[in-house]
Amino acid sequence: MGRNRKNSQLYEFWKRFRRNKLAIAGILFILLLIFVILFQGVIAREGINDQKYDDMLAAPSMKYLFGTDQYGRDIFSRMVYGTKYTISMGLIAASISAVIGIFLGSVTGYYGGKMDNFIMRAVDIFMTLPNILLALVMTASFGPGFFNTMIAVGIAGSPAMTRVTRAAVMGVRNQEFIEAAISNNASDMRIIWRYVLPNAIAPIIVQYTMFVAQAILIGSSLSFLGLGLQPPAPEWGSMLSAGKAYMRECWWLTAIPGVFIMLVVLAINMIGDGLRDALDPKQKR
Amino acid sequence: MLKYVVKRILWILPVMIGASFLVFALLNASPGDPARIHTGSDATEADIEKFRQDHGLDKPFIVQYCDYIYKVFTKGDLGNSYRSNTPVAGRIAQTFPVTLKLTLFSMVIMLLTGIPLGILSALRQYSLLDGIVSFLGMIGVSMPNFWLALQLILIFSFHLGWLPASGSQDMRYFILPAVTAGIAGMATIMRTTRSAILEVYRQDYIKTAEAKGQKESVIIWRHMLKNASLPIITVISASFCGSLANSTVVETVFSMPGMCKLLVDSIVSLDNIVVMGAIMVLAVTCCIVNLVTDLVFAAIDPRIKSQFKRRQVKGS
Repeated sequence: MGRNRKNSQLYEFWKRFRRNKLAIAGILFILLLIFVILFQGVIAREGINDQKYDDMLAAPSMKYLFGTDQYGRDIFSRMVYGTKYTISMGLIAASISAVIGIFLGSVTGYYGGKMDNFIMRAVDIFMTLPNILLALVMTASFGPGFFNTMIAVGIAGSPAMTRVTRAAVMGVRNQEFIEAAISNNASDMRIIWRYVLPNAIAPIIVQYTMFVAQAILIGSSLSFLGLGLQPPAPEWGSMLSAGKAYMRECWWLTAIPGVFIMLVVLAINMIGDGLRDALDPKQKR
Repeated sequence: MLKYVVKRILWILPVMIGASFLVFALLNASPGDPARIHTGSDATEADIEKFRQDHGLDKPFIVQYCDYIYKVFTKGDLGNSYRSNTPVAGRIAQTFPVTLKLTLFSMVIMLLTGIPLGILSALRQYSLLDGIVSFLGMIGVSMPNFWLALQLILIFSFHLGWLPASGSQDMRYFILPAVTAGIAGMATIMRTTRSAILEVYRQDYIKTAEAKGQKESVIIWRHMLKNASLPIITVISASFCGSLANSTVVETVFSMPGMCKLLVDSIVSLDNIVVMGAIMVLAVTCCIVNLVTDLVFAAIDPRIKSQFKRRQVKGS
């Protein structure tokens, strides 16, 4: 029988995607980090709060791969345990923005009319503030903390997701297969879910991926400002913030968390670029 | 055309009312009673009640909001800080120039580097230079700016001793912060310029201009950049707001006495009325920038112009 049509489309997509070496490198890096999260207890050599009073502020060496901080805690182990915060900040915040944005975007794009007008004006209002400021206000409202930050960043990202989804849905709404589904007496929910969204998914996936990267940057900025996850937890942004005071003598305290935040964001951005090129064959040279 | 301009300017009003209501409601919903937090632990019930009355907190939410808006429009009064009881408007007037100067300075850096590099890498597509510029652009949007700020301080202030690490006394103090706040915007402007130029690069009118022996500089500036300008203008205005927002982190790292630092400090110390004022000033600024962008669009995009002419003909 061979592959059905959906599979072959997926295969075409994969063929285009894998040509992009940077995107593949990005995926491998993220897979590596997920591996680190799964086996964090095995990989980390010390606990997150094990203090070695003989080795405070030790430079990177074979014993302490990334050095130690002012309390003599092993930075390598703290980075390993901190990975999950960074990755989950990105994924969960982007997923929150996706759930809100896809719902609002598909409803407004599909039905149009007064409700569309009303919701899109509300989106305009949300979009007057750059999303880090929106996240800041919401953190001020919810209070600091990891979950609150995640929710704040997720909501801050939802207006952009709404716009992207709406534009994509409007692009397919008037096509013949939608008309066919309507004449088959399919319910609106079914039409949106089965026919509209699958055909409008490409820009949504790209926006989702790009917002994962954004969310990690915003989340770590908030932690850096002291509004995210609170200090004893090994969040990369707050580790960096704590290392500020010793940065002159001990470069590793700030350099290492910063480089890793950058690598994660870079990897996700490269995946996003690869997805955009692969999902949009029209743009191919 | 005039109708469009007036309509667009008036549109600011409902947006600002909506945004102020949103922020006011969010801050009002925050856990913790400002009257209890800011009167201290040994305050009597009478003290707390007096604090509430002084700041209008004893009224229902919607009355508080209307009072706030009324005072803003009639007296330019943004309320008094919960913590120091000084007028918020005064503190914002003191600190906002620093933020604005920083943002404008970072805009200059962005434009002077982003656009030329974008053009250059588009003209030499797939060259080594293009590869390097694209990769640096990728890193620019991926770098956490607080980290970049610290590394710049480490290199240029501590090791080389060329530039000061904190403060805002003269122009030299603004160089490192402006670079930090502008780096992401610079990378975005560069990437957008590159793809916008590439889009027009293979158009027939460019070939025509080349064929008639037009000078390369004229081709680039008049034929290419003019036709590629719309996406670039969009991204410039977005970068302005982005850089304004980045100031929150940048001013904190460089300890500059700007409004965004005031905002962050007030969030930490739960001084919500100051947060409200600062956020609204930022929102108004972004709104004005977006307005100017839209008007520039209307002025230069023939599609928007012609849309209006047609509508007028139909209407009459």
